[in-house]
Amino acid sequence: MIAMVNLKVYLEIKVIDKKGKVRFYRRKNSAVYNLGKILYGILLAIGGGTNTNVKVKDYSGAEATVYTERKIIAGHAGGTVMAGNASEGDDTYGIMVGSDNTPVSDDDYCLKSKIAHGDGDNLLHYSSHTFEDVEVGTSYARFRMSRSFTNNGSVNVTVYEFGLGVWNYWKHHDAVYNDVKFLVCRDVESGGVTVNPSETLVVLYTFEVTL
Amino acid sequence: MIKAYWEIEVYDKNGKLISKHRQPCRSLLANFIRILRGMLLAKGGTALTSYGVKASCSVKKYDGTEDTAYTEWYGSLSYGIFTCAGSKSADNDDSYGIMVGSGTKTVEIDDYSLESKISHGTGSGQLDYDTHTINKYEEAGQVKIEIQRTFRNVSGATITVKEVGLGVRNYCEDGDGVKKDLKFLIVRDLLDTPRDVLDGGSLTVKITIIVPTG
Repeated sequence: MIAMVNLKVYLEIKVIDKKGKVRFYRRKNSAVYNLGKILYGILLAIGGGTNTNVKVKDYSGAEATVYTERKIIAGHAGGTVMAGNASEGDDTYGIMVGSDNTPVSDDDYCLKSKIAHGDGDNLLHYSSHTFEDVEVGTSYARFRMSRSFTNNGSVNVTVYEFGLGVWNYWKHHDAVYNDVKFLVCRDVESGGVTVNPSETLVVLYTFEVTL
Repeated sequence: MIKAYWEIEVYDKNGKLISKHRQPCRSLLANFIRILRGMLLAKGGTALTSYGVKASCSVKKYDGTEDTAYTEWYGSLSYGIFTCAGSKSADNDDSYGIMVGSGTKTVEIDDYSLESKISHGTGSGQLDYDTHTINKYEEAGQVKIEIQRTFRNVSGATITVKEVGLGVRNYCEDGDGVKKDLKFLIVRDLLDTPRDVLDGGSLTVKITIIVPTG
């Protein structure tokens, strides 16, 4: 669980059967680690005049430099700090799922056994993401992002782990300057979630601040 | 679990510590959620010759009006600067970073400014805003992040600080000029106990974020 000040991150898991009915639902707090590091990097930036970076652990576990501010005096430049909105079929970042049930550690840097995108057996079809608008109540503000995973194969797929990967991507002189993907959330449902053929798993992350 | 707290130190004109107070940082605001959503909404991987705004979000500026912050942006001309939400404002800049005020309004989730910011300066009712010090300490089992700023009172009278906040700057510029320069508040807390800063004295405000590392 992240209890960063008044920030919480929740994971919700739903399985929708082929008739469109929700047959499984679970909600739990989400564990994160790299999120704190990237937040540090974001705040560390001046806001108009320097190069600012921090180290995170990429999917391989190696320390990688990610930028939160760039200043280039010759050449086109720009980027994004922690993109999470992966397109349909892209299983390299955004919400991802896996088949390993190793308990969560704060220092997790990858899904232990990611289930790849695809329409064959033992694969899941990764949809695009949905971002709900920010909802502001009297004592809370939150938004939810979600992604669907459809089993188009002929055998059951059991999902144990859930994660959110983000992409730090910067260009410089019309070339890629930084290209690092890293995990900011990982969660495990110890009993597993079975997705039968033609069923869809929906994974939702809610980011919320409360007073 | 990740924790954060404020530390408030008051010094007299001789630099002697008069009081030290610690309290939880309780109040990330709706703007924090807005910019976090904006950053995650970005796709990344933009084609090498594609420029401009690729992702953005709406935030509330200090005056309460909404504006668009850029969260994925690529300059097209000669040079480029881009920051999503930087906090490290310079000496004398009271427009973002750690700011202090004299307001007492209860914190609300959609607060967009300090109720009554104490401006930078050396005149009556003002405090001299110093630079920021931002440090990261890697310790056993945790990373500790500290953002600190000192405020000096040379106004000629005592000034009482009752609220603290953290503002950030969303900024991008290329050879065609500044494309975005937007500041907004992401944290506001009331001090558990107001702090008097005597003439000639100073106040140091530090926010510490502790991230466990397993």
